Amino acid sequence: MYVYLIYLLIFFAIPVGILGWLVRKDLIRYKRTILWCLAFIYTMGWVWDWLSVKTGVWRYDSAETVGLWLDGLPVEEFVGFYLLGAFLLITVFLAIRRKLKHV
Amino acid sequence: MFDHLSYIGYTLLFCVPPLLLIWLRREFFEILVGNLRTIFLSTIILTIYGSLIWPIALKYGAWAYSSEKISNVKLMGLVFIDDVIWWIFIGLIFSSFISLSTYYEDRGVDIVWREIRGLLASFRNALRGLRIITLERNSTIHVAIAVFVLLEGVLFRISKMEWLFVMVAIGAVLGFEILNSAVERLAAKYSAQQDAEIGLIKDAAAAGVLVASAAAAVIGFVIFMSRILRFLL
Repeated sequence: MYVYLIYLLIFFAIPVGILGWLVRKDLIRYKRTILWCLAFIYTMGWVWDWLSVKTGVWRYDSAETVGLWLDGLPVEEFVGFYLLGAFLLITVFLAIRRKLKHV
Repeated sequence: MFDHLSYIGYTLLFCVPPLLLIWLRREFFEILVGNLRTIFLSTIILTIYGSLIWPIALKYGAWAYSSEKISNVKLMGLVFIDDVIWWIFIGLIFSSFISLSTYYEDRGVDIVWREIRGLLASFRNALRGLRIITLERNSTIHVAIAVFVLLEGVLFRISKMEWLFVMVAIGAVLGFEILNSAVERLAAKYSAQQDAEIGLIKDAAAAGVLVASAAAAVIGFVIFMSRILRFLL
């Protein structure tokens, strides 16, 4: 069962899709900010994640993932968690800022 | 590494330094304070959302924690405190960074590149400043002694701890010597005439080198004297 993938789709992809649509103009406007957020997550975030798995803080049960691994981490982590996680953080911030500007 | 505080420990390790980098700078602080409501609201909403969905991931086995590496303390019996702390810091860092970066992007500035270029320029200038060593007699003497001590350290195979002391001593002496040379040149530029105050400032800078050198000599004596005597006798 692709538990992790389904989890990412429900709790990351859907909110990001909704919020992303609401702030789509800002997402186009702030391309550099988005790229830097992704750069930090794919570098420092990866090191943190790798270290945590290596030292046993958390683990990913292979039975609940797609089954493709990269350096001890499931591929869903790179495609789903990092990418969608970054956009979740960005879209939440931009949506709140937009809302507060109109209040 | 941190046993039951591993999860929280890593969160602090990876999050506190970047937060300080962003919030300690006066220029950035003023911008962030202007966006405080957005930053805190984003952090709170992300923390609440994350605290609700993280237990679902654990329940259905998307990932699992090692009980020896987390606090095992649950907030309201639902979510691990480690997860809440993680979301707070992640929310705070990214909200702060996005707030700052979008501010500068609105003004046509890539703030990260600007900071990287500034840092590289600082390194280039500092490396250029090293050439002052070649312009002063005392500086060259200190460099020669430092190289001699390094070679002695290799030949006598001193321990890691002794290397630590040697490197600190060399760093201190050369650092103070470079500063002293800079102060002397600045003083000469400021006033070509004899001035009691300027004289005192120059002497004090030289005294700094003297103190560092004396301490380094003691360190060298303690580490190498017995070895040299054993070698000679």
